[in-house]
Amino acid sequence: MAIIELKHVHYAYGVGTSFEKQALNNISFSVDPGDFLAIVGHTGSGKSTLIRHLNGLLRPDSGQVFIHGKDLWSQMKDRRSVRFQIGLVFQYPETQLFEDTVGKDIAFGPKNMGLNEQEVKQRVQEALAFVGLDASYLERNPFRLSGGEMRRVAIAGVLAMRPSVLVLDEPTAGLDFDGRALILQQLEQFRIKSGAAIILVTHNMDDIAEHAQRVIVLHEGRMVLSGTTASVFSEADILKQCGLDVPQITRVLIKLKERGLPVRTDAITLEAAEREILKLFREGG
Amino acid sequence: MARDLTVGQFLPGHAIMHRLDPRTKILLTFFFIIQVFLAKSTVSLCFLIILLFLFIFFARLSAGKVFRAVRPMIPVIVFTALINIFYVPGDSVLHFAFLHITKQGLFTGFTLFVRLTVLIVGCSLITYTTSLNALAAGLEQLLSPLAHLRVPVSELSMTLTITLRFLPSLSDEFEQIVDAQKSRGAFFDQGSPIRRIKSYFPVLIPLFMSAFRRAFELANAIECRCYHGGKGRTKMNTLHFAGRDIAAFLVFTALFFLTIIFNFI
Amino acid sequence: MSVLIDMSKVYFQYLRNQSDNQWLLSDINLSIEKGEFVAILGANGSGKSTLAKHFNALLVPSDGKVQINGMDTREEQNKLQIRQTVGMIFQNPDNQLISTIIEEDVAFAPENLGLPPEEIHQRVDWALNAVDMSAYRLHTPFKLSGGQKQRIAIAGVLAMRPQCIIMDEPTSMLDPSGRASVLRTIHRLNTTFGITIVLITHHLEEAAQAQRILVMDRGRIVMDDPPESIFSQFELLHQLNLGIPPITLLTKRLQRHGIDLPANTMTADKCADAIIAMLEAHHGNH
Repeated sequence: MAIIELKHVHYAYGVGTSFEKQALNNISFSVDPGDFLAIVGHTGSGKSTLIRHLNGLLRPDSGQVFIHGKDLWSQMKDRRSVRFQIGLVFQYPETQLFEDTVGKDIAFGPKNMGLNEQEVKQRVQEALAFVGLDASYLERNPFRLSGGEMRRVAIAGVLAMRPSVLVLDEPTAGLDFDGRALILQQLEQFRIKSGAAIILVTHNMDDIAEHAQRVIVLHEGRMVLSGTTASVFSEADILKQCGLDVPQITRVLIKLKERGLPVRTDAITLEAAEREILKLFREGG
Repeated sequence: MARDLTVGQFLPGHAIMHRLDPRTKILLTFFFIIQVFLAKSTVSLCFLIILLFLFIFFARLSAGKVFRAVRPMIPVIVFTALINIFYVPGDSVLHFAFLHITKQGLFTGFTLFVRLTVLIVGCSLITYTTSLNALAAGLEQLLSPLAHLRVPVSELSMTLTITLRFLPSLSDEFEQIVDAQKSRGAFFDQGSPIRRIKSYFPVLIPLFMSAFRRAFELANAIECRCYHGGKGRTKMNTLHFAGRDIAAFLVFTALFFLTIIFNFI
Repeated sequence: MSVLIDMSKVYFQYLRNQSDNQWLLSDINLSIEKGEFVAILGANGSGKSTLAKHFNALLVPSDGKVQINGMDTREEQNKLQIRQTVGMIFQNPDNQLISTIIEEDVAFAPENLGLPPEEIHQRVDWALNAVDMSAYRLHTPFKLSGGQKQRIAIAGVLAMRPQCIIMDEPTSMLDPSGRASVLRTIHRLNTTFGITIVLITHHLEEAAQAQRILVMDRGRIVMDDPPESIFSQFELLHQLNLGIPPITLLTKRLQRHGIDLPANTMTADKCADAIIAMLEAHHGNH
């Protein structure tokens, strides 16, 4: 069964005022265990409104949100518990750290779940290990860490709730190459080891090409594209209209195709692109 | 994200209320406040309400929206009015135990309710029609004589401008942090007052950190743009009283006396 | 050409005379000429921003000398002149805008300089036009996109009529279209108005657009070359944690198969052009 299922979700801001804006328009999709889904769209496309529907921070104007098959707004009494199942990591999550030690900050979520001390401790250590920090960090002041480390501590704070879906809004924004690669690699590890699904909201098409299985493209509150990563990236024109890029590798292939060369433009990995180009040299003109 | 009109928000426009000199608007707002407190009779209060609608019309705003924006303050207004209902002595209408409701009390309470609403709506009009910078510039120029008394008028006005500029950013940020901590299972509305305050620590601490970070970055940015205090600063838009300002003053003086005259009807 | 920024033997640390000599900058010798477009590349914590803050006297060296147009940044009386000459743009556009009206925000610097109102008006017109934001003159910045806000911040600096603008990771908080619009603006400032640009970034693709790249590592400048030669030093980039653009990786892979693409193919367009040229040569030989 799908962990999350959205059916025809609509949501508007400022209803009845001159600022009224349809932020989400007929959104339907589902997320299964182990999925790696990417949601893309430029600023204001409705991404942050959408992710706030996944754990019940916002209630749809119409349409339904199902969590493990139950309607979040009509069949579930304890809606707060949904926040532990669907872990939400906001943009620049390090700005939400507040405790004086890393350990205490990560423990905030598990403690709110009402777990006993022993269990909390175990969760904290496990989460810290997932983000690649050793136990010596537990007693350190999070505000004295580097930007990248702070970000990982903040992510650990959500991992510690052992969510079955982890939603991350631009988790690599502002990080350098190393910091970015590290976080993505750790998220992939977490997904494989825990069987959780990951929903990644990002602008970075190269990251998506490397990790995501499926992509949803939002534009002005609507889902304009949805499908496998390769199929979405082969729609370069639609992506461009939505103010988005394709991965650079794909762009090379698109350029070649525009010049009349017989290449497939749904190659999104280095290997596939290399194969396509080598084929051109072998086939001859 | 702004969902409704809020008091203090500026709505750019070209209505006559927008085009008046900010100094005129500040002074007239003061006049209006005095007028509201001088209005004693039902007739003069009604007169004020009519005036208010006229002002809203001259600002080209929707009256419904303007009044709706005051909604968050209604509890305070009602509370103040209620206190008066119980505490003004006079002819008793109803009484339980030690509480007496008097005719005079009801009247005072009701007029106070009207008066406070008119007052708040009236004052909110200046914020809808005047940019914060224009307001700050107006205040700065009105208070500029104080600079001779070594009051740092320009610096104070700059501080005011920046504070007002950053309030919406911080309020957005507040919402975002609340959402983030809720997503980690935080709850804010249970238990004793002390527990409730404590439950806000996870929001307040990040908010303060962020405010400091912003202040630091902003300080750098304005230094890079050659800010070095009010000394030697000029203004792109210097304020000039126009014919319409003088007209506004004249009309207002007349209205002022009318309100007082209506007190005796 | 004449030298705009000149640094010699610059060392820097926040607290003077720290016992363990943890220099945030060490032995920086650098000169940037008028009209150049320079990118400073480096991983987080490599000292890029610290270096940039020396270009307009936000920081002054603990040891060594920084001169802007010949003015020593350590002399207090030079500061105002230096800041007018070298403007600076920061990462977060929100924390640079001080006014709720765009026109008034852009006027802030000229007002600080004590210019007469007519001249302020002219400069505001010109600056907003230069960043292609004239239509938003009387708007509030709250409703703009990140890229638009950053362009307003640039206009605010332009209004000082600086000779040089330092951009400290100006695109890192923007989405792809915002990033593209800011980069286009930066290019235009350099080519149309001849403004010297120093672009600080950790994106190799952005740095590739400059004429010259400085690579920083642990407070030192470790490379100072045109992009083509920087990008061909594959192993070094990797060691410095800068990552390698996917296009460069692709080029590398194809080279292994004997397709000898030039090392300066850093953008998708150039790469495609190079492949086509190679293909023509290849098939021509058959």
